[in-house]
Parts: sequence; C-alpha cells; structure tokens
Amino acid sequence: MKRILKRTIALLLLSILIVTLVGCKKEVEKTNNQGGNGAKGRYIEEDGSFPMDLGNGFNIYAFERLEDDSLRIISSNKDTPIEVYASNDGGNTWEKVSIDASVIPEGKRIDNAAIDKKGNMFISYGAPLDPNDLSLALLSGKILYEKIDVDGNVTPLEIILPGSEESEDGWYNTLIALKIANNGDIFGIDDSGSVYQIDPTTGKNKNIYSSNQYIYDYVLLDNKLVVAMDDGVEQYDITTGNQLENLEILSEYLLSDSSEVSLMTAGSKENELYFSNQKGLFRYILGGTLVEQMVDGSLNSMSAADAYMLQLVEKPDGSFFILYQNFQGEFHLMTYSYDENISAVPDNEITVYSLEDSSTVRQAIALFHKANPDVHVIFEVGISGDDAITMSDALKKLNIEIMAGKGPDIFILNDIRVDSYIDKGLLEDMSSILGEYEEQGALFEKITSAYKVDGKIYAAPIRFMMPMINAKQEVLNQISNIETLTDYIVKLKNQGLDKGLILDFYKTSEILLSKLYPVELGNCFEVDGSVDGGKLTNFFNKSKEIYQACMQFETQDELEKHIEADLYRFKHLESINDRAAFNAYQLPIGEVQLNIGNISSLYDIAHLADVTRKDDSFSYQRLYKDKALFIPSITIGMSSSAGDKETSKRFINYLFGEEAQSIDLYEGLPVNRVAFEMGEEEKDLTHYQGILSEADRIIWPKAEELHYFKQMVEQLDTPTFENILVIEALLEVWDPCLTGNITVDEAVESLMKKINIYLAEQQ
Amino acid sequence: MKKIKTMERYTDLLFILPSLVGVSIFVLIPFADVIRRSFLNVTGKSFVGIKNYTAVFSNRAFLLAGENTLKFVGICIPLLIILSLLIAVLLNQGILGGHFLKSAFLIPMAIPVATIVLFWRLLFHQQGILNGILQRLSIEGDNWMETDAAFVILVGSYLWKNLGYNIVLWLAGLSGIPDVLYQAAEMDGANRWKRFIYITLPILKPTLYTITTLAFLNSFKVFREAYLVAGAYPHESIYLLQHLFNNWFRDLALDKMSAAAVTMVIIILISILFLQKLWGAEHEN
Repeated sequence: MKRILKRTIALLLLSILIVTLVGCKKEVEKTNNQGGNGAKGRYIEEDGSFPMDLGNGFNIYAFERLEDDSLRIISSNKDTPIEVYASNDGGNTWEKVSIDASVIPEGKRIDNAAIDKKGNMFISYGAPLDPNDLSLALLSGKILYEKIDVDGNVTPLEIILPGSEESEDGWYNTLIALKIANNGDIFGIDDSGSVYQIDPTTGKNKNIYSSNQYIYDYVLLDNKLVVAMDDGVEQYDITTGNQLENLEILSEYLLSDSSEVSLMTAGSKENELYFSNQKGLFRYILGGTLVEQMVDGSLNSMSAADAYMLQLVEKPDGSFFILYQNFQGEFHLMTYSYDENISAVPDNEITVYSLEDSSTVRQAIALFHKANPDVHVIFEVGISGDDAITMSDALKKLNIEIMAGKGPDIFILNDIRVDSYIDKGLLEDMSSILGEYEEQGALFEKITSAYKVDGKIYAAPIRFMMPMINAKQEVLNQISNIETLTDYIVKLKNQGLDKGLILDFYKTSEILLSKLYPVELGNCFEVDGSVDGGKLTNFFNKSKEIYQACMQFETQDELEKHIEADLYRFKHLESINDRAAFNAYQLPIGEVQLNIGNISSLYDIAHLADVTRKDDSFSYQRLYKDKALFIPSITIGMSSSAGDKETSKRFINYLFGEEAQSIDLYEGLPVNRVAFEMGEEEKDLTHYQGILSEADRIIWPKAEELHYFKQMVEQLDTPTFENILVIEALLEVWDPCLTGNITVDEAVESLMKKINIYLAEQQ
Repeated sequence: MKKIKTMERYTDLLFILPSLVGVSIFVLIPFADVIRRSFLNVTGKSFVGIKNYTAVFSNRAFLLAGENTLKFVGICIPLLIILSLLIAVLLNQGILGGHFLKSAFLIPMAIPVATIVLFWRLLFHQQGILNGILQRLSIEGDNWMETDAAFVILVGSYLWKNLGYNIVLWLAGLSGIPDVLYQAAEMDGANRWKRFIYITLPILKPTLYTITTLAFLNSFKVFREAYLVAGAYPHESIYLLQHLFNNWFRDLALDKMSAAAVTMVIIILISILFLQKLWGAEHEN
C-alpha cells in the first residue's frame, strides 16, 4: 500500500513537472508558412490602368457596369468638360462615346455624375470658384442638374433642396454621390447627410432618408436602399420610403471590427452587395448570417495609406475594379482577379512592429505586397489609439512576446531605445543589406550610419526630418544657436512690431518646445549620458525669454482668436512634428518674422523655396547652422531572432529602395539619394493646393532649389536626442515653467531628479 | 501504529497536493527560472556569475527605491498596527456609534483604486481642492505630489485604506479573550491599562503575527496608487522598488530585475521567518 501510494505521488509530481516544462518550452519554430496546408486560390491585385489617354488633369466621376455587361465611365479633363468611355471587353479596350461637350454650359464644370444600367446619365455642374480656372476643386453658386439619355438628349432637372437656391455666405446645398435606381429614380446625399430620392421626371423629392450620422456610402439593390453609417447599416424600401429591418449581422460585423465602409456596390445576384475598406473586399447577402471576405486588404493597395477608394465595380467575369485617387489627386485603377493556382495565404510571413502607426510603413507594405505576392507582411501597432494602452504597457507587452520567442521580425524603433536593444543583442547587423546601396552611393550614408556600432549597422533611419529656420537672409546670418536666437527675438520685441508675430505660435508653450527640443535637448547631455544642469537651466531660461518676448505682442482678444489654431497644431505629443511649411507663406506678408519647424517632405521644400523665389531677401537654413542635426523620423532594425531572416532582409532591402523611398507622406525625407533626386521631376500641385488662386499657387521646386537643399542634407550626421521618457518628463514642467507657475530652478530640479532616476536605472 | 501514522502523513500530502500544484506552476517553478536568470546575461545565453547582483547593489535607483520601500514599511506597519489596535480596543469596549464606525473604517476597502486615484489627484493637484482650501486660509499651496509631502500622502493613503481590515482582524482576536479574565483581574485591583498590558496584549500576540505579515505584504500593493497618480517616475520620495521593477521590465532589463527580485524575496522571507520565530518562541513560552 505504502509503495503504491509513493509511486502514485511520484507519478503525479512527475506529470506536473512535465506539463510545466512543456508549457515553458520555448517555441522553436515560428509559423511562417501558413499556406503550407496546401490551400490554393485567392484574389490577386493587378494594375488595371485605363489604356486610353484621359487627358491632362483628368478626373473620373462615374464608373458603372451596364446590364449588357459593358463598362462605362464619365470623365473630364482640363480641355474637355465631359467625356464618356465604354468598354465591351471587361476593361481591356475602351472607346469614346460620342457626347456633345455643350451638355456642360461654357464656364461651368462637372461636379458629380451617375450612370444607370442602360447607359442613361445624370450629372450636376456649377461654376468654378475662379472663373478663369476650370480645374479648381471648389464650385461657387447654385448647382444645376441634368439628365442625358443614351441618345444624347439633355433634359435639365430642377432639384430643390433646403439651402440650394439662396445663400448669404456663398454656401449652396447640393447632392453628391449620385446614383440611379433601376426604376429610374435619382439618389444623392446632400450636405446635411440625408439621402434624397428624386423623381426623374419632376425633380421633386420622393423620399428623404435622414440620419444624424456620417454616411460612408449607400447602394441600391432593386427596390432597396442600403446605407452604411457611423453606427451601422440600415435598409429602406424605396417604393414606400419605409425603413426595413436592421441589417444587424452586417452592422455588428463592421462595428466589432472597427471597420468603416469605403465603398458599396450591388452584386449580380439578388440582394447581393459588395463593400470594401482598408481591410479588404467583402460580400454580403441581405438578411444573411455571414459576411464573406473576398480579398484580404492587408495584402494589396486596399491597405495603402495614401489613397481613397472612389469606385468599386464587379466585372462580368467575377473579378473587381477599384478606382483609387491618391493625396496628389492621381487616379489608379486596380483589378482584383481570382487566381486558383496561387497559395490561399502567402508562403512567407513576417511581422513589422511599431509603437505608433505609420502611413509610410503601411504604404511601403502595400507596395511590397504588390511586388511580392509570396510574402505577407503583418504590421503590428503597439498603441492603436482605440484603447487606453500606454507606451509603457505596449513596451511591456512587446517584451513578453520577445521573451516568449514570438517577437516581431522587424522593429520600427521610434520611441524604443536603440542603444538598449543593441546592448541586449536583440538587433541583427544590417550591414550586408545597406552595403549594396552604399557601394552604389545610393544612400545618404551619414544618416543611415547614425547608429553604427563597431562597424555594424543594427538600426538605421529610413526617413528623417530636418529642423529649419526660414527668414530674411540678414536675420539668418545672426542666428547660430539658442543664445543668438534669443537675442534676436528679444531685440525684435524691444523694437516693437507693426503687425504679426515674431515666431509662428501664439500661446501654447508646447509648440515652442516642439521647435526647440530636437536641437537643444541633446546638448544638455554629457558624453557619459549624465545631464548637464547648467545647460538645462540655460535651455529653460532662453526658452522662457523667447516665450515671454513672443507673448508681448499679443492682446488677449487676439490670443483667444488664435489659440485654437495652436491647439489644432499641438493636440498632444504625437503631433510634435511642427512642419516648417505650415507658416512659410506668412513670412513675405509680414505675419511672422521667423519660421522655425521641420522639413518632413519634398512638398515642404516647395513651400520654403517658393518664399525665396517670390522674394529673394528670404532664405532658409538649418536651425543652427553649425550643427548638422537630423531627426530620425522612422528608424528600423531587424530582430536577431527573426523567424524568417531572408524575407525580413528582402523587406528591409525594399524599404531602402527607390520605390519605397519615393513615398512622401510627410513622415520624413528619403534617405535614398536617388529617390531624393527623383523628386526633381516636376509634380503637379494643383490638387494638393485646393482653392489657392493662380497667383498664390506654389510650384514644385526647381532642380537647383532641390540641389541646394540636398547639399544641406549631405552634411547631416548627428541624430537629434530622441528619448520619449525624457521628453515626457520635460513636458510635465515645461508649461508651468514658461507660464511662470514654477521657477526655472524648480523646473530644472524636478526634471533632473526624474532624469537622474531614469539614468540610474540604466546603469 | 507506525503504519497508521505513515498513512496519515500521505493523506495530508494528498490534501495539499492541488494547492501545491498551483503554487508550483505559478510561483515556485517560475521563481526557479528567475533565480536561474539572475546568473545569466539579459539574453539568457551566457553565465555571468554574480555580476547582476553587484550591478543591482551598486545601482543608485535600486538603492533609492530600496531605501524608500524600507522607510515606507518601517513607518507604515508600526503606525497601522498601533492605530488599528487602539481603534479595535475602543470599538470592542462598545463605545457609542461603534457599529457605524466599524462600517466606516471598512468603506475604504470597498472603493476601487481608480476612484481613490482620481480623488487623490483632485485633492492634491496644484489647482486641487487642498490648495483651494489653503488659499482661502491665505496659506500658499504647492504641487504636493512633487514635493516631500508625497511620502506623507502615500503613508496616509495606505493607513486610510488598510485600517479597517486590520481593525477587523484585531476585533476577531479580541473577541476570543474570555471576559472572565478581565473580571478576575478587575477583582484583583488591576486598572484598565494593566488589564490591557497583562491580558489583552499577550493573548493577541498570535494575531499580531498574522496582522504584521499581512500588513507587510499589503504594503507592497501601495505601488498601484503611487503609479496611477504619479506615473513611472514619481517624486523621488515615493519611488519604490515596484517602480524600479516596472521600469526595468519596460526596458527589458531582465538580468538586473531577476537579481533584484531574488534579493527582495530573500529579504521578505527572512523578515517573515524572523516574525514566525519570534511568534513561535513567544507561543512556546
């Protein structure tokens, strides 16, 4: 009995030990081959650009599949107010459909358009804000509507909406997102966010479907209207105008996934609809219990950060067209066709981790997927903003994953301590990847080698910003550090200004911090990492002097007027990038005397160069011309325990390549010299600038202007001080100090105590 | 007879087995891994001997946090024990409103930490309630959580939150003292003070051990409040060991964290064993 008991207990304890050890066993093999189960078939994205020349500055207003399965678009360009194209072979070839250009009266411009299943059209048009420039985005005055049947007969339609006839402030209510139902009724959304159902013969409102929410899109399925809104999807019977039962399954699906609907279109089957967003393309049958994902958006352009989806069309062969327009106003047509021979999931999978979201990284991933359909790059963001996760929480979660052997393959190291990760052996040497580019002289090497340790590159910026000052040349000659900057500002204050501001901020002290900390904070740390209290005190003293000098010119009324502008620019630390382009235009008109901020895009250079071009007494230079500082805005590193090192290297290699480096989403300049030089190709800024008149338009910088800037970039060799914990501690005392609630000594003492504890932890 | 004793021993073992399994999986085995890691480098790949321990003992942040934690425990626990005992004795004597006071002292335990933290911020912020009151009295206020007063506030908060629980524990101990002892002593001419010293206190000694141990362990939970109010880097007077552990974990300094954790466990274990020994010796006497 004793023996049996002993053995039973021993067995039990052994089992516990085995279970525990198995549970603790490090996961050796990382799953990187999800397609290994042999499943085949998925939608593949291909460039389906229109083969015909749509003209200079073209725009597309409607894209529809007709009942005979032909495709039709309505477009316009700078020379022609309206053009119609048709395709009978699924979009491979297009023919221009004859239409009398005078359907749009002279001096007017098309605003919106719709095509029904038979090919009848319905358009709206109005007068451009600037009568001499038909390409301007905004229209002024009343908007007019007309029907154009398949034979080209034009019938004007008087549509009266609340506020569409008269205006005191120049605003006229109008219908957008026009669509035509199968019964011929016309639908559109007005400025208040209501969907209108218009009688096509009288122009009178048949039904108004009101909601107090933002409408993403709507679709017409036979006699049903389906509207996607902020808090769900509703359906209506358009014959009665009554609301039908809620589409709870679809609503719950969208809400639970925090998804928005970008576009909706009717499918070819009864009650079938398709919708698309950044997460992919989905199919849903009204009343059904399942939302089917057709296309995974993370594998293609759908997840791209720089484009809007404009039109979604199901092709006769079951594939799809999506028309995109990017931030520069360029159109891209993509097709999504099912390939039954390709793996259902890409064979290789890697994870890129970033504490905060990055449009540039998302865009690079989307482009990489397009060129590498065998790879799936997952972009994991630590602080999504949808929850209450703090940076500390996110870092701790990341650490747990790393220790469990499930860490990411590639790190975006912003706000992560690069030196600490290098010391801990978490990063892989990327010299072999960057070496190829360096041999070709393709990179700004001083920047990409910023984190070189013992000849090895464990981390490198793929984007950088440059702190700049923009002012009269004679002023720039006087400024080389915080002392001379302060002296000049105080001198201006003592002289008095007729109008405007010294620096482009009104009251929010944090904006001044965003301008100064990148160039000043690093200066306050000694080589051994300790804080120099004297330099820190000097930084606070000078900043306070600048703040007080700049405040002297503002009356309380003016302050109140402008404070919202400040708050808009500096909501919190995330928007600490203060772009120099924001206020460059205020220099020549005397609204500001000094423009200090970061250059984070080639578009920003256009603004600064424009000021100098219009008045050559103005110029720009590095904020402190004696210091070659740059802000590493996106820094990457490869995990030393990456599961799929080859694929990770392919992706990193791509990030430094010309295509990825040509992305310009205001998150930094390219480190690839070739991509920078590609910027010398003139770009059309018409769409980018919206409503500016011709005289005020900024043109793309000339080659010599970009060359001048490039020369400055070539000299940059020192990354600015980037430690989010120190900056957060600085923020805590910054405003109380500058506004006089605490003294400089108190602020410095409090800050130094915290920094010293932080530094002591790192010993 | 011997066989029965052996059987009983195994039966005892079976009874504690479920608990032992849980403790082993969630505490003992992970802690064994912590001990192992304390002798390895941060990646856990190479043996570094006692380097992590020397690094920890020469780390200024560790010394500061250790000093603050010891100071906090050294001040809070005697205060908590004495205050709660005094109140418990008063309540036990059936003072007027005793039932209400018992509930009142227990209320802080029912208040969620988030609420306490919010109230704390409202109270001690530069533009908070306390400064508002002081301003009315023409006294200059301060940003209390950024001054040495932060330590006093933390001690006050700990006492306020834990007093009720300890009173209940004392009351349980007091209810176990037979009235006849007091009556006999009273007949022998012992006054209230002598009855307290010679009857109440000696009988409550086992309770003292339990209360001290629980108070000691609970004192480490005060980090929640300090962290939620003042973040990872509070005023240096309330920078506790848990702040340091939290920050080291954030920075993936697992080597130093393991060594510090082992050190801390040893100190806590020695303290508890010391208390146990003390109690055991008294108990035998």
